Amino acid sequence: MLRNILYILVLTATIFLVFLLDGHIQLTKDPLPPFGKFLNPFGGVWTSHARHESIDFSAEVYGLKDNVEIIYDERRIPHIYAQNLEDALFAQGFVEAQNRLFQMQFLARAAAGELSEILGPKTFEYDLSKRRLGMTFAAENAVKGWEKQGSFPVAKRYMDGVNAYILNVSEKDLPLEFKLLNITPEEWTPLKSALIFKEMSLTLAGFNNDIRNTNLLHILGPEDFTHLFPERQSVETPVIPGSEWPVDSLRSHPFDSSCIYPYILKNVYFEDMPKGIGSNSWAVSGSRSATGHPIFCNDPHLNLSLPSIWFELHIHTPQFNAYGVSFPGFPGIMIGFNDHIAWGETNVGQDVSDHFIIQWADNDRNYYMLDGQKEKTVLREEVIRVKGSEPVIDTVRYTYWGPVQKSSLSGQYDVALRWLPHDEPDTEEFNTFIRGMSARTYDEYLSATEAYISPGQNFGFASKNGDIAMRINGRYPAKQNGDGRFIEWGNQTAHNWAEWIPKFQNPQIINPERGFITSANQVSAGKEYPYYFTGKFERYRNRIIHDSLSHKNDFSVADMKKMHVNNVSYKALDYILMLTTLSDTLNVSSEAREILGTLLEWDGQYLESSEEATVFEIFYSHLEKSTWDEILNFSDSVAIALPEDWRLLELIKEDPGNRYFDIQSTADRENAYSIIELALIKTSEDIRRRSDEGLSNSWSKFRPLNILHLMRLPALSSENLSASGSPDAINATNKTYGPSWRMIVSLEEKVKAFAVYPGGQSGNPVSRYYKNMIDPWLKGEYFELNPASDKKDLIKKATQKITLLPKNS
Amino acid sequence: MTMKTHFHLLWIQGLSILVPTTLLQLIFPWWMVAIVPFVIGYLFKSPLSASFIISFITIFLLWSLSAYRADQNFDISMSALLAEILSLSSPSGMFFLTGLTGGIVGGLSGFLGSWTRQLSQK
Repeated sequence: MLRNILYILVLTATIFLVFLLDGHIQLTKDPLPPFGKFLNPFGGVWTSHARHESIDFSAEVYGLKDNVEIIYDERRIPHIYAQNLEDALFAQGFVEAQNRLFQMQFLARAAAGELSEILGPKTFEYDLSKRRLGMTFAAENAVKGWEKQGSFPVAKRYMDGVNAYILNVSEKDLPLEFKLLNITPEEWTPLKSALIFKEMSLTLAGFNNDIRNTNLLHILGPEDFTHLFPERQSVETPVIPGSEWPVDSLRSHPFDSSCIYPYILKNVYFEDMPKGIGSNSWAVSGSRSATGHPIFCNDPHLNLSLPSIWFELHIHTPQFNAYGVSFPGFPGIMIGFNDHIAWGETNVGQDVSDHFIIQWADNDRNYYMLDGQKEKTVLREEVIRVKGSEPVIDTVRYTYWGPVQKSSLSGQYDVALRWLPHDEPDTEEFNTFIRGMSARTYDEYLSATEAYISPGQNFGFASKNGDIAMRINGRYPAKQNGDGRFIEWGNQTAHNWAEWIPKFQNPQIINPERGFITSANQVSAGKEYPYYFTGKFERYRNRIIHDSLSHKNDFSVADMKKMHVNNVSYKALDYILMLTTLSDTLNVSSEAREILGTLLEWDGQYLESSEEATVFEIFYSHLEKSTWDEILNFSDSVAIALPEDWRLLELIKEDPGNRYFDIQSTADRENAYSIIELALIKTSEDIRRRSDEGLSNSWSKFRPLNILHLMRLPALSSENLSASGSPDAINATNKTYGPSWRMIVSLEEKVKAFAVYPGGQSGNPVSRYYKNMIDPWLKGEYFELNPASDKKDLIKKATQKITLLPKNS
Repeated sequence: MTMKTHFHLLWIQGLSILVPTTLLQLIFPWWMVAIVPFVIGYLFKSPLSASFIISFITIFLLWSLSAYRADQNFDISMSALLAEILSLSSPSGMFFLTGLTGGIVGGLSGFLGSWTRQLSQK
């Protein structure tokens, strides 16, 4: 009897163990891999090798019109040779899935707020924020709009290509991450592509200052707020120079400042855009290049991750021959060139997200007031699945404005988000980067990219026939002074955006006399531009680029390479100039004098070995903290922002007695000079402390660069990299951000192009192509790109050859 | 039954587990390492402890050596990567862990196979 009980116990325990090791039972809160399945040498992680990256094959697939050949080169760049656009897009989907399937699936989940389903409870808050922002709502609307466009079936061939790979791949061959999380790839849908695109919109157009500004307005009072937070600088170099604008058909939307919400809000729903997101782009015309042909350059600064946000590819059809980078998950080449033109983008900081206060009409928050009427909210049930726990249901209320955000106020108010990327697109915006890659002239490029809506980008262009051009592309609400800068009441439709700026009135320029175009996220146009700008605009990089381009007229590719890794910060130089002017009047101890001396001798270069850069950063943070103590005191309780760096400098120079220089906690009355003296003393203390602790003061040790895997696993990341640069330098590195793709295209008779990105083509962590380009990128090296029209030029060095053949049903 | 024949039988039991497990694993999921030792344990007249040990050793060797062999195919060492993810001090510990995981399941199954035979024959 006892034996039988014992037998049943052991049997049950063994069955339990098998289920546990197969992933059906979870014992810990954060899910562990299913160790039996995971470690199985016949199908688990041990078969997640990268050998298949070098095995040639051919596959028959449905729907292909003609044969497609894919040749991988020695950096694993796929060169796609197709006979038509549909097949080319199919192949793009196929190769992106082949190399980046986990990244694509993970990012679509991250965008939709579905990470907890595979990662467990630790990402719950993250998922919740995505649901409240209405990311899937935005993506669904995008798909709804796209499907109304007659050209969508062509773009959809991309999704078919992704799915063909998913059908083709054996579970055994899936990379490590799939097995770690015990997941298999899901079918790729237009919704997933839309989610990927909306995630990019969130990164680039998901910032918002209106809550912070509203709080500051009430904390500081209108007079101080205006004084400390001017929106325009006295001297600017806007993206589009010039002062004449088409004024005869202005769209206007009267702004009544009484619609501003008169209280402080505690929560903020968009993170402040991190320092390090941005981009540089410039082109010189033949008049400024050594060859007499234009040179086009672009380096978008984004979160540096493994796998990289970009995938490099070459697409050849009888109609076009394009090369560049795409976002895995979205068809077309976003930044690149073909045999005739080069194109690229930088972000536009114009605000396309506003918050409106909802006045509820009932306690259940099912009705709200709009134009004196009761309106019903639309409830959207968000089911957040959490691995190892019960699903959580969160109901998001949708109003005329958009989704209502997390309750921030007690009583009868909440705030709703009006965000441009939520809108159903009424154009074939998905086609922008598909049509763009086959354009041959600026006219063709303009028409190809006309449908583009959001996130707003400066579209830079140069062509072999000598044109250089730049257009602020995207859709922007026509705003008047002050509109959208603060939270507004949401009880009247009149407060909404009424009209869009007609695209022909977007700032744009072709072949300017100065012989170059440039954008670095600075203001789009001068003060004469009739529409109101508010948002996030860059203040330093654009000036360095502008100066560098103005002072030379024989640019070569080598000059451009040097420019990309230029580490000078004008912010640093501006402050050093101020310190030089003041150095005799400052009254500091000998130690602080030494710090001052270090700064005065510095050339403003954020080199990895530079100790001066570290000194300056510490000095500046003390300066900022001591000056804005009045504002920072509120930062624990409400969302605030600090006046910009350049404004602090202006105040030091023009208004040194401003009461904000006074430190509240001291009895003395400080001014700008005493604040600088104090910052120098504190800096010297910090530096001494760091040296005592044995810490290196070199810039790259003080601020290492980390390129993290999507799941933040250190083993799959590249951490503590030694890098030069600063967000205010052209080489805009910052902690986990930086130039994510540096490209230079010389539009000579035979187009020459050079590029590099900090990652690798393969998303498989055990592939030799996983992070092989990080070192060359750190060193400022480039690869020459090979857009060979004739595949024979590539076959000799091919690392893998794939043929896709049409399959007849 | 002498010790010698006993040893021979174990040897045959081990091989009888090894060959079908290896073949079945090429197509079927990992839990073949639970099925095969159980069936073989049932068919052989080995004592429970011997059945456990031979099943454990066979699957341990099959899994750890296969993992070791697979690791040679990688451009970048999978064992080192996994050891870092799982906070193991040595990459070769991954082969041991792999062997152990399969081995315990195999051992327990072999043990249960023999036990089931014993119980069913009473």
